[in-house]
Amino acid sequence: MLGQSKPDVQAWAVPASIRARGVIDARFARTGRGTQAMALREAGGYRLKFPKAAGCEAVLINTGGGMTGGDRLDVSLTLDAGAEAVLTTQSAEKVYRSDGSAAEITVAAELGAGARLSWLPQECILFSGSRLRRRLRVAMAEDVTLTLAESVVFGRVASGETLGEGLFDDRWEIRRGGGLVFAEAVRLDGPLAATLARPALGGGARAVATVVHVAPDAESRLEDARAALDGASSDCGASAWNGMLCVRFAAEAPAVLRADLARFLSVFRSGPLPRVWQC
Amino acid sequence: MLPLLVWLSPAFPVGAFAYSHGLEWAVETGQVKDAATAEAWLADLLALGSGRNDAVLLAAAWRAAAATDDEALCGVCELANALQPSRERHLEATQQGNAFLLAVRTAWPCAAVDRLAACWNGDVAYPVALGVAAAGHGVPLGATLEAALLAFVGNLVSAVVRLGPIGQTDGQRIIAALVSEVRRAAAFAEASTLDDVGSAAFRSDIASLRHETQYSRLFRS
Repeated sequence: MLGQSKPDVQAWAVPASIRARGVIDARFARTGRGTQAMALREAGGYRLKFPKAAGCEAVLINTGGGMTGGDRLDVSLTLDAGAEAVLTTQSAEKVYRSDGSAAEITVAAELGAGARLSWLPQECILFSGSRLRRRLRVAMAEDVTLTLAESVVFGRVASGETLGEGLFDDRWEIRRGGGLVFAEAVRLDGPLAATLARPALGGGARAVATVVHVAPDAESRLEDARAALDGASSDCGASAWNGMLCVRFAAEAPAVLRADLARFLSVFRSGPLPRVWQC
Repeated sequence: MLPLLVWLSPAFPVGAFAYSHGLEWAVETGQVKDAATAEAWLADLLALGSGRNDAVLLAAAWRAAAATDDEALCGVCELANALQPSRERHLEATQQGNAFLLAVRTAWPCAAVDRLAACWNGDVAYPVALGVAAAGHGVPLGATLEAALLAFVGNLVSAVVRLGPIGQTDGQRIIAALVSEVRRAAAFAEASTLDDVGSAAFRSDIASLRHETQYSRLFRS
């Protein structure tokens, strides 16, 4: 029997004519029966599913199974005053080797007075040679509770992939009451393995995560956050200032980071993560 | 260019000696333990960390002040504050920036600094304050960037010396060895725009978070 050959990642690069342009545009409002999606537009192979009867938990599904250079995904979320929603993804988002152009993801959220949003996608896996440009913009009212958690895995670590050239260009902007309160700008461009090996940069990490919690009581929850990191094997820490709380993780093993992040989120949020996280 | 020698001297009252930028934690964990590891850590900050970002922010502030573009200047002020990765780094950036502006307004008054005070009433991060003062006194951007980055390196080397893993002579060797990295980062920033803000100093950022709960501390960051 012939040995199973490794898939040729080059073959996944597709011509521009069939590149995907995904759209999710959803508006949530508080109703007599809890928060409901009032308007939903889905395009380009992306779907938003609501697996639970109670509470508004939405799962973003990419039926295309991943992204490659030139693909786009635009997610737009609006939470009306008082709406409460949890969003996650069905699986890790895989970004395949690019033929030169970058895959682009834009997430824009507008959150009305008293709204609560948890944006808890599963990790983004950047295959060797992939290029990803991501923009996350939140405009929120002063009293909104927002929890964002994003994690990134550099290369298919489990299969021993050697990480070559790549691009990860990630910018976040969180505006509260109109003013910019939190910005993050991560830029890795070129030889990713060498960059991640540097001591003050990756320090050998192949997975990183950032959690940002912006809420009226965010600073008072710092001890809760630190307690939720107890026993974590990742290099991680928490800090709170200006009505925000931020937790950062880095680990050599993506599975370790995922377990630490999942435990942190379930303890800090005092409840189980969406079911899709558990498989 | 003489004002730079004064403003970036350790005697200028910004309190730079009080901040380690997370290095106190990196020394505690052994991530920085000798001259080679200290130099590598600082080279990373210049190439793809806070040194690089501070230089890009300084350049944007210098240009906005030189062009008397208040809207752009307020945008730089806001972004520089929002980019700080932790409470202590936010404190480090804004306490030094506020103190610098106070001293400059008293001893080195200029229209650009008055204009900043009129259009922005929040905290001002240190690189933004430096950029505005330099533009206000006609100090060229390139020289300001090189001097600011060299002072950044000098201050952190001094912190590592006080923390113990390297001596004074090693410290001076590290500063000399990093001059080429300083020049490279300054040249990059001189040609940059705010779109070039970006870093990948995950371990340095986490070190600043961990420093908050470090048991025994000499430094405020």
